[in-house]
Amino acid sequence: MNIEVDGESLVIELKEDLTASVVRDNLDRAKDSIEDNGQFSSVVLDISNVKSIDSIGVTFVVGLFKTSTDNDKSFQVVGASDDIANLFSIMKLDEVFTVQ
Amino acid sequence: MLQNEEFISEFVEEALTHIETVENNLLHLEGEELDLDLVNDIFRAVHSIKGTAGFFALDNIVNLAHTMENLFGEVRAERLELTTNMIDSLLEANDMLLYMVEHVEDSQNMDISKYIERLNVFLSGKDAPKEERAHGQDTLRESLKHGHRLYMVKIYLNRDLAKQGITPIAFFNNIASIGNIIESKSDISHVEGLHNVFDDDIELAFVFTTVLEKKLVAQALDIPLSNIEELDKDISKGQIDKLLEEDGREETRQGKEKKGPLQKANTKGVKAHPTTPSSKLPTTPSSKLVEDSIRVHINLLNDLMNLASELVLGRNQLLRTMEGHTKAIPGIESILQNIDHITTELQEKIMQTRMQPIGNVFNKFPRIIRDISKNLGKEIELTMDGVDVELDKSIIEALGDPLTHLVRNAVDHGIEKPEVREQLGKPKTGRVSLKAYHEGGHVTIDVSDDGAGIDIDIIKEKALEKGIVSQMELDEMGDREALSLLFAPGFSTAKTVTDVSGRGVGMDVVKTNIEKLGGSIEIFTIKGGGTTFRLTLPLTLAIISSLIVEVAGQHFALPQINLQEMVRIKPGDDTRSIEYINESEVLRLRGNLLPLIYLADILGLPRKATDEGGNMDSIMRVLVLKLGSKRFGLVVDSIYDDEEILVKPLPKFLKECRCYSGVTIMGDGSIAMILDPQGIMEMADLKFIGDDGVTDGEIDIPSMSDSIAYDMLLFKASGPEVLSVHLSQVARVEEIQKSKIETIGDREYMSYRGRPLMIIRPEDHLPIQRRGESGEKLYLIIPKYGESRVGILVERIYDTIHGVTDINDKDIKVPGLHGSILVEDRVVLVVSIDELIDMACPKLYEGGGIYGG
Amino acid sequence: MEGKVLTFYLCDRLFGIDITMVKEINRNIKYTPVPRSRDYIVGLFNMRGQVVTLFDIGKRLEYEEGCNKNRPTCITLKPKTPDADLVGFLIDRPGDVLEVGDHECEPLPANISAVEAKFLKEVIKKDTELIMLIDTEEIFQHEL
Repeated sequence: MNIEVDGESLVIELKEDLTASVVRDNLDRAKDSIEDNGQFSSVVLDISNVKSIDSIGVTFVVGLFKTSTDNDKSFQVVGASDDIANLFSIMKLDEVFTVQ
Repeated sequence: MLQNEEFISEFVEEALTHIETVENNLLHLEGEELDLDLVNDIFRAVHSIKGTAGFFALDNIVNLAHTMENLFGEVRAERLELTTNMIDSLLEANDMLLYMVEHVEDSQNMDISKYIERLNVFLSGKDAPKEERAHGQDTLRESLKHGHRLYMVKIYLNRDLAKQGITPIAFFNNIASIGNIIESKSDISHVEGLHNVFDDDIELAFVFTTVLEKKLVAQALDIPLSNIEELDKDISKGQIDKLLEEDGREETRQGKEKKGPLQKANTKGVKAHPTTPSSKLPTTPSSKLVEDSIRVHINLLNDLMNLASELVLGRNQLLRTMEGHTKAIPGIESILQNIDHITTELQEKIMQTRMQPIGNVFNKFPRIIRDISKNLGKEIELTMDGVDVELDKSIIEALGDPLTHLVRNAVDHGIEKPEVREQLGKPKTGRVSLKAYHEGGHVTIDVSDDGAGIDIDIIKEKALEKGIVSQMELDEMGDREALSLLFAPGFSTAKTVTDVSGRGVGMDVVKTNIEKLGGSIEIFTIKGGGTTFRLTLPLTLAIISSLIVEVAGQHFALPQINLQEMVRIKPGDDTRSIEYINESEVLRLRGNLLPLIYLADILGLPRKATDEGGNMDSIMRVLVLKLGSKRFGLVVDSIYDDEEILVKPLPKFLKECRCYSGVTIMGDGSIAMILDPQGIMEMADLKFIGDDGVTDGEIDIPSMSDSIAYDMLLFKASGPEVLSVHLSQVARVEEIQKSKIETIGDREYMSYRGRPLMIIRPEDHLPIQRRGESGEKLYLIIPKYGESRVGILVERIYDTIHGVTDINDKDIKVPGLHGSILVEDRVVLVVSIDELIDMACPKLYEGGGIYGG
Repeated sequence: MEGKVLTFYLCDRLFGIDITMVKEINRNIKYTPVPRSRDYIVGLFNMRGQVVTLFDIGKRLEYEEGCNKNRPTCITLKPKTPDADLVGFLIDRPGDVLEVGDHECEPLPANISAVEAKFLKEVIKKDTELIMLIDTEEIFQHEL
C-alpha cells in the first residue's frame, strides 16, 4: 500500500488484493495518515490494481470513508474494477461515496 | 436428483418452447438493427430455463444457460455488439441446450466445455459476469408472473459471509445465478472508522426473486435459513423499500447490534433508492403461454376423433335405414335432420382440434436454409406463404422429413452458386419458397426454387447407369415419365454424394411418405429456370372418400384420390378396346394405351367367368387410376357406391400385404379391406408403356416436354362457349336425365346413388351465355375433392386434351375462372371448380382453428 | 400352471388356455377373409368397432383339417398393451372352465410334432382327459 499526498488529495494506493491480511497489515498506517491533518481535503482510494475484495476489505473501505468524514475530508474510490464497482453499487455504497 | 418424472416433462416442454424462442429471435436479429424486445425475450427465455433447471440440479444446462445469459446481458446493455460470429456460437449453444433438454437424464454426462469456451471468447475482456442491477417494478412484476418467489435476505458481511469463506462478490454471483435482485441496502452504521474493522460488521439486506424454494435458496447461498424471509408476492415496491429500511432483524442474531433504525451518515444517508432501470424493459412479456388454450393429451384427441368418425357412420346408417319410412313416424323427419346437422358439426369441430398450422413445420426451415447455404457458399432467400394453413396434426408431423429433404435438395442441387447465377443473368440471391394453400378439400404445398431446374437427360443417364431402366425403355419413355424416375428407389442425381442432402434414398422415401398420408406429389421443372415440387394432401387422415368395388363376391374399398375415371366396356365397343402388347393386356382409351391389372389376379381370387370362347361376354369394368404420372386400369367385377370411410390401420399381421393400406368398417358392420393402388401396381410389376404426350380425338396440341403440362376436360354448358376443367379434379362424368332434376327453393338437386346431390349450373355463376337446353340428356361433372356433394351440370362433353401448358390468367380475371387457354385457335375458358362451388354454396367458416386459439 | 383354464374343442382335440389371457368369447361372428394373407390368418372381424385378427390355430399346428369355419365361434384375447392389435382364434365349441393345480400339469409328451412342441406349453391331466395348453406368446407371434 502506497500512501502519499498528491496536491489536494491523500492518495492511498493498493498494490494487492483487498483481503483480510492486507487490511491487517495496513490498517494503522492508513488510519494515521488520514487523521494526521495534513494539507489535503480529500482522500482517494486507488484500487486500480485490486482484483478481488473480501468482507473485511469492504469493511475496510467503509472504515476509510468513515474516518475521512470524521476528519472532514471527502472520500472517493477510483480505479474500481467492474466487479467491485458492481458490488459497491449493489450495496448502495456508491450513493454514499463516489466510486469510479 | 431426477425424481418426479411429471415435473421433469413439464420442464422439458416449457424449455423446448423457450429454446425455440431463442432460435427464432436470434435468426431475426441477424443482420438487423438491435431490437431490444427480441433480445429481452431471449434473455427471459434463457433465464427461465436456467432457473428451473437449477431446481432439478441439471448443472450442465444451468451452466450453459448461464453463460448464454451473460452474453445476452452484455448485448442487452449494449456493451457488446451482436455479430454474425456471435450468433453462430449462440445458435450452436442453443442447439446443445436443446439436445440436453431432449436427453435430460443424460445431460449431466455431456461435455459442454467447448460451447462455454466459445461464448466466453466473446465475453473476454470482462472478468466476470455483470451483476444484475435492481431493475425495479418491471422486473419484479415479470419475474413473479413466471412463478418466481419473493424473498428478503439479511446477512452480515463478516459474520455470515466471511466466516463461511464467501467473498461478497461471489455471494452476489450466486444470487444472480438463481434469481433477480429487486432492491438492496446495506447498513454501514456500525463501522466506526478504522478502529474495529475486524469486529464491526456491515449488514446487507436485499429483496430478490427466484424460482427456488426457501430451503434451496439457503443451500444455494450457503446461509442460514433464518436469514431468509419469504414475502407476499403482491407486495408493492414501496412496501419493499420500507421493509428494507426498517429494522427487521431476527431474534437469533447476536452481537453488537444496536437496535434502532439504520443511521444516516453525514449528509448522505444510505437509503433505499429505487434505481431507475438501466435499459428499457417492455412491460408486456411476449409469453408463449396463451391463457385461452389448454393442453390436451394426444390420446384423448385420437379417441375423440375415432368416436366422431364412428358417430358419422352411425348417422349415415340411421339416415339410410330411415329413408322411406320417415313419413310413417310423425315428427321424426326434423329430429333426423337435427341429428344429421349436429353430427356433421361435431365431427368438423373435433377434426379442427387436431388441426395445426403448417407454420409449425415451416418454421424450422429458416435455420436449415441458413446453415446449408453457409456451408455451400450460396446466397438464398426463403419465403414462406400460407403458414396459417392448417392440417391434421399427424400429417403435420409426418411432413417434416419429406419437406426437409425437398428443401435441402432445392438448396443443394437447385440453386446455383452466386457466381454462376450472375453469369446466367439471374439475381445473385437464389429464391426458395414454401407455399401452402387450401384448395377445396385438400391442401397443396409447393416447394419451389428458381435454380437450375432438373436436367432430364441427366436423369435418364443416371437411371440407365443404375440399371433402373433399360435403354429400350428409356427410348419409349416420354419426358414426364423420365422425370418421375427421380422417385425410383436407389436414385441420386448428386454427382458427388454431399453430406448436405444425403444419399439417393431420399426421393422415393419422400414420395412413399406423402402417399402414405393419402397425398400425392408432382414435379414441375424448367431447365435453367427452376423446379417446383407440388405436394397435395388431404385435410384429415381418418376419413377418406372411397369407392366400393367387388371381386369374386368380396367387397373392397378403393380410395378415390387416385381414381381418375370409370370405364364401362361393352363388347363390341370400338372406342375402347382391349389389345395385347407383349402379352400384357392394355386398354386403348381415346387413343391412349392403358395397362390393365385384374384385381382378382392381384388378390389371388378367380376372375369373372368367361364363356367358351374365352371372351368377356358381359360388361367389363375398369377403374382408371393415376399415381404420379403413371396410369393404369384396374379391372373389377362390380362397382358400388361412393363411401366416406373411416380408415383404420392395418393390423400388424397383415402389414406385409402390399395390396392393402388399411381396413374399414362398413355401414353394415362388416369389415372391408382398403386397397392400396401403389401396392397393387408394385405387385403387378408393371412395365409402363410410355406416355409420350400424344393426344387424341380431334384436338391436337404440340406438347412442350420441359414445362408444366395439364390434362383438361372440355365441355360446354347451355351456351356456345367451350369450357374446361383440370381433369385431375374430376372424379367422374355421369350421364343423367333432365327430368330427374328437382328444384327445392332456389337450388336444384338430384338423387344420385341414393343421396341428394346439389346441381350447379356454370351459367348461373360465370359470365357465359345461357340458352335453353337442347335435349333430355345432360351430363354431370362430379368433382373429386370437397366435402359437399355437388355436380356441375353441362350439356356436352367434348373430350380430354393433354399437354396444355399455358393458362392465360391475365386477360380474363373473373371469379370462377382460372383463365383461358387456346385450343386450335379457339379460346377455351378454364373453370375453377373450387371457386365455382364456393360461389354456388358459400362456406360457413373460413378455414379452421380452435376458438380463441 | 396354476389357476383357471378355459378349455375348448378344436379339430376334435381338447385344448386349454389360461383364462387370464381371455377377453371374451364371441359366437356366430361374421368375419372378412383377407386374400393374400398368411394361411393361418382366417380374416378380420369387427368387435364393437375394434378390428380383431382371427387366427386358425389348427393351421398353425399344422393339422390337416384346419378349423370349422361354418359356425364360427371365436375366443378373443386381451391385448398385451392397450393399443396393441387384437387377436382371436376360431374354435369348434367351448368346453368347461377348470381349476388347475401345478400337480396336474405335465410336460409335453415326446411323440408330438415339432410344431406342436413349439406352440403348446404343457399338458394338463384332469380326470381322464388330456388338455393341451396353448402357449399364447408363441402361437400369435408373427415373424416377418
